[in-house]
Amino acid sequence: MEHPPSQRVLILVTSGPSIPARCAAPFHIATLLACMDAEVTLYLTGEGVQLARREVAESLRAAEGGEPLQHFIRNAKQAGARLLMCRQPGVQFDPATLIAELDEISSGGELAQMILEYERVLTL
Amino acid sequence: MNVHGLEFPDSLRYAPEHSLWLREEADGSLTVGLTAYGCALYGQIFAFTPKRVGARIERERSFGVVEFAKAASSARSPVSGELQAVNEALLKRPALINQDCYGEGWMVRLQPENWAAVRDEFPLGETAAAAIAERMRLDNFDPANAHVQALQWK
Repeated sequence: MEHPPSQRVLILVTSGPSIPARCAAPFHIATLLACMDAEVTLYLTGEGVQLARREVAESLRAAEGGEPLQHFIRNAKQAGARLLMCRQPGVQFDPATLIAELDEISSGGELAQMILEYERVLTL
Repeated sequence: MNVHGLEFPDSLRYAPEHSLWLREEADGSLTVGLTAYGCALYGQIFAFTPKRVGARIERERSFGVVEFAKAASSARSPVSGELQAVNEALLKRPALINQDCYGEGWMVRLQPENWAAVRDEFPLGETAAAAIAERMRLDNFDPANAHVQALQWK
């Protein structure tokens, strides 16, 4: 059966390791939105790109004693969210150090295109 | 009936793939809730957020989201229809799903489309028990270790 088009939601993840308490929320919100049939794209930008580093995702916790960030990233991916990371000119990442959940490294122009096209854009 | 220690009332129809039960109401609507097996998989449920009353739900699309200890999951509708009512008691007391999944913990009421054509896809009685047992087998569900599995699920 054909499904009606989903609402598309773009979540700009700008929080990073300097504010651990804010790092899990974007992924949890993405999970909930995807569970409500929204088409969700998480876009790591600014300090948020650090969250794509495996050592950060495995160790960073938004709450003391809570699950590491990777748990929330995996939940969002399992629910169907897409995970993109901003390509930052002059900043080199070894692909081997990045989390496997990352779908794509994307340009600022592609981000601008999504902002224009998506029904909702959140910055978290 | 009882499947691997979990109760499934004989009077209900079941959607084993969705871990949901369906009760046909006199007005043609369907009351829908999570089965005891669904409760065992999720563990303690912290929140159930349904879509708005009046929403049209396509088959296999979400009628709400269930939040539990480790994650969240879509509650996917086994039939197409209109969301006619939601159990507002769950907004304040989502634990009712765990405590009384076949009674006060019902989730939503749907007005199904073309119910007569799909009704037989949702078994009753022994046919339902066999389908639920098969679902458990495919999930590698270990009834002796249900609580631990609920924590590890997803």
